[in-house]
Amino acid sequence: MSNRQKLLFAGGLVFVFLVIQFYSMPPPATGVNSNEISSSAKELEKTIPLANHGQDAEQKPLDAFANPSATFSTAAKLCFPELVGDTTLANDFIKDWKSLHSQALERIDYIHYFYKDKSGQEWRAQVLYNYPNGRPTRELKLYKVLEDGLPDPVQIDAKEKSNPSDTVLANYINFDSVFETQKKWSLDDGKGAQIEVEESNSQIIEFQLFQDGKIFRCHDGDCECKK
Amino acid sequence: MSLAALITCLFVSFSTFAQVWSDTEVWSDKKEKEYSEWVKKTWGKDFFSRKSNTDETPNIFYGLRVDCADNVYSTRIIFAYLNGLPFAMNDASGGKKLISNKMSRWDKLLEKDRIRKFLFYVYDIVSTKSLPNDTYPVKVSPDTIVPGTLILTVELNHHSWIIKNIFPTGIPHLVYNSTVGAYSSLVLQERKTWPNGEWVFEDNVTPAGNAGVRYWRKESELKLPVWKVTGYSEEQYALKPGKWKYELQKALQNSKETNQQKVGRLVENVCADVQQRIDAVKESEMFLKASNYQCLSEADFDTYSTPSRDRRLADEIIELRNFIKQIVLERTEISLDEKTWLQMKLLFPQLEISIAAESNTQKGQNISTSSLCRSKYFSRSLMAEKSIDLAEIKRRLFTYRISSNPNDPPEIRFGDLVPGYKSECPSWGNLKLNYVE
Repeated sequence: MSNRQKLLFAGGLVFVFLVIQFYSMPPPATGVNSNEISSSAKELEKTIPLANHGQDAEQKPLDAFANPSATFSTAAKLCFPELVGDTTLANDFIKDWKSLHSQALERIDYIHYFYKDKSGQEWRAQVLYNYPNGRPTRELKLYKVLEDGLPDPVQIDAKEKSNPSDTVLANYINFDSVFETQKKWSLDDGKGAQIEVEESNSQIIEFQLFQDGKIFRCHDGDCECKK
Repeated sequence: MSLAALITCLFVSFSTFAQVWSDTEVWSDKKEKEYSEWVKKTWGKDFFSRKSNTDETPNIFYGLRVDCADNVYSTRIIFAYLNGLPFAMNDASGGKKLISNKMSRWDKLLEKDRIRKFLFYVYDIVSTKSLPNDTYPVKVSPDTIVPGTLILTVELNHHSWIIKNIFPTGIPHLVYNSTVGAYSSLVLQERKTWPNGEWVFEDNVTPAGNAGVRYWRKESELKLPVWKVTGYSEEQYALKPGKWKYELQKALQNSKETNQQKVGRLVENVCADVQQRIDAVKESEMFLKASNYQCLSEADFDTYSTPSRDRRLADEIIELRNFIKQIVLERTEISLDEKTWLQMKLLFPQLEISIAAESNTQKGQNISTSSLCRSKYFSRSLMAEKSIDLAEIKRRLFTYRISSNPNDPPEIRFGDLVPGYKSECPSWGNLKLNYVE
């Protein structure tokens, strides 16, 4: 029996089963509250605020860091008590660290833009940063998000794909409708301190700080200090 | 309502939402060992260039063009497919869902076409940037560094290799590829040596650099931070980059490579690199010719320039030279046969000085029976091939005559002196050879 025939046979069995189930189902309950949203969906709405493509917009911290688990403060105080002070937020900690290492070389790894077009179709644009022969260049990749929630690569002109200007990016990305921006970047102060950060909508999702022989790292609020 | 539900059920039950392939097995330690054995026996430079398999069945993967990351992902995906195992990876475009064999986008196609489509799809999405999220760095031991493991450089050098085998001497057999252009061969590349640790870990020796030997994560651990993945080890980051490959070899060897064997292997690697460079330059010349010798765009410039490959060639030559120096220092010259000594003397006539100084004083010589890596490169101005050997390539490389610039004609790429030549085309990035002696 070929695979197709097996599938058809299995499908037929499923159909018969469903028919039997259907006719033995009780009538639907009345009084269902259509406004009720599951608690997990509510949590999701709170933790993924709409992206604001303005660089100076104030973002509310994610719950995971706003009401930090004991692990962030504990790990931070264990690793870098002189740096953390009263800081309880990863965002503030990273901001402070950056200002202390203002001469450090920053390198972006990627920026992902999640947005919708006028018809409501979801898209993703990946701007990948490469450093061939020591110079920074960008590469644009574009994806349409299909019904299965997964990306479908969209071919774009090779000239526009390679090191696109901001104008070219704006031709492809509807920045007004970006609802999530993911960014990965790193800083190296050239004296042995390095930090790698992943953020979503300017909120820190994960970071790893290597300094003075210690590793201080967090992922979604779960942190550790390694000496 | 009831009729609509019935029709929906009818539609669903008779549709063929075929996955890329069905996974009927699960990953286990036994399956990981089988994967390792399969890579050792089956994966090779001709995997995508052979039209049929050893059992004479058609090779359904024939013709796929892969770059370095595609090559690595292909080993895992293809083994999983052939053995009814699941494959899943993170969505490199930033989505939360996993990309896996369970996708049903290509359900209208035959299975052999679905797997090819899936591979093309993955190649479009993955790169060396995505590998850290699907793998983890391993402990240095014979149990963890096995065929099927991969090596990843820091993102600055964006390169990866698959380990096909580990020889008893602790040396790996690597299969890999470089950037793929329109005229790239289907044949993959291989080498029998550890890559230079200074290059693998360049600019970032911390775990966040993601460089070193790595292995595939279990599906259940794909969403974890890498330091929580089972088997995660930071051992490699405690090694100095310059010592990394020697420590790995020491940890993995159970027999010592003789000096003669080592020189033979190092020479084989260098000659393979020379041939790969000849092929790369030939490929860029074909591309230039097809576009009427117009200046390359920035993207094509990056595809066809060879600074990383030239750096690797320089590293291989230096490794060979340093080993010969060591033999001389240890006064174990007798461990090499006379023919090998003649070849080494031709190549490295003044070991006591730096390689640059030695190359500066070295005179160009004719090819002889002691010449190594005798090859031919094309000269556009002569419209003919010219012969060259390793001693001459080395002399030109370390006197900065070899050009990584893909806009240059082949004879300039190989260091011919052409009075008054100057490229009129733009160039990008720093192409100057830099190496550690």
